[in-house]
Amino acid sequence: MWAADQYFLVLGTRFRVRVEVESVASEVTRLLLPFVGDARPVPGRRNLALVSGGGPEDPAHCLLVDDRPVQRAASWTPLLAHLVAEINREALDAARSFAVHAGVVSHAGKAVAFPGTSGAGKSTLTAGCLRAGFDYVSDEALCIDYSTGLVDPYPKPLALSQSARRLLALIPPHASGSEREEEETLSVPADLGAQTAARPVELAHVVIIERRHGPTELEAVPGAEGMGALLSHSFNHYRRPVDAFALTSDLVRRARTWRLRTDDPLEAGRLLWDRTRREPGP
Amino acid sequence: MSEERPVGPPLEAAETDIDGRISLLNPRTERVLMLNETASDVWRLADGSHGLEEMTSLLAQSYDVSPDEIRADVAAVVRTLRDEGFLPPEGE
Repeated sequence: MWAADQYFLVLGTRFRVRVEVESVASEVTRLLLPFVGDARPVPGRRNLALVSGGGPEDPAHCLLVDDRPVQRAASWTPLLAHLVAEINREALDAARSFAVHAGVVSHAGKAVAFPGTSGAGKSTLTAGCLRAGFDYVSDEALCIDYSTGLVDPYPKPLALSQSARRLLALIPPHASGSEREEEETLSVPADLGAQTAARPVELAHVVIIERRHGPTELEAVPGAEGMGALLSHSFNHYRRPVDAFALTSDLVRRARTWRLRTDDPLEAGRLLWDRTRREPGP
Repeated sequence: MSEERPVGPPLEAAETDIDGRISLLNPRTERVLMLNETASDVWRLADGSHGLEEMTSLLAQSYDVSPDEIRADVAAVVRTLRDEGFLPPEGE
């Protein structure tokens, strides 16, 4: 018996998520609220389910994808992270927009994107920017509509590790949580005092992240570096290489490219908030 | 125009110039090549009307250096552009 049976529309792909436990179902709804869709069955959707442990012989809870168990855990926290990761992977794989691995925030309709690989600090910097006043667009992907050239919000829950939460002053400096240090837990923008960008926004700033000790610095760099960063971190430019090349060329002409050197996401967020509002872009 | 064989003209490619730096997409291999400012100047001269030595001489004048200082770099850029399929192979 399911406590919840919901449909979510993520970057054009529909997911059905069923959850056995009421409190977990509420958390799934809270995390995926921007993607809540209608229940109209559509072929090709993915079916995911969170089921509770079966008893003394099998105490672990389980994530099912298309009725196959893919992950087991004693607590719900890692399973929720896996559920979101599974949806994210499938949605990006099927995305028709030009999608770049990047953190993205916005203010007054202008987006700031930080392309980077996993572990580059995108989510942490995104969260630092939200704390500074930006709206949330995504901590995972810059999704640009080929026809409009605008950034479509992809507000998946932010995945922040314990160490990232400490850097962001979301937990005390010496707090030791029950989670392992690098295990990610999920947050929504409201948890960080921010809101989600409601409409497509224009890409105004491309920020290349360079993590290093020392003062936080932001330096203007040639647009060609921004183009390289967008193309080299794209998930799907190979599907439409000529269009992706033309789109990124057009995007960086209309945007400013920066190099951000930092190891402090809060300070970096404040600096970006200040500079990008003072110099809103071409 | 010297007697040496000209470099280029370029093969089919998508090209964009951003802040003086050229980026190229080879539509056959889907490879993207992002050139720095000097390599961009080499690309601009590789239009089929200059030989390698003439390109080197023109760039040396432009940068106010001796041809010997940049000859190897210019040759390396041309080699890369050929290897990546943006210029016809040497001798064609």
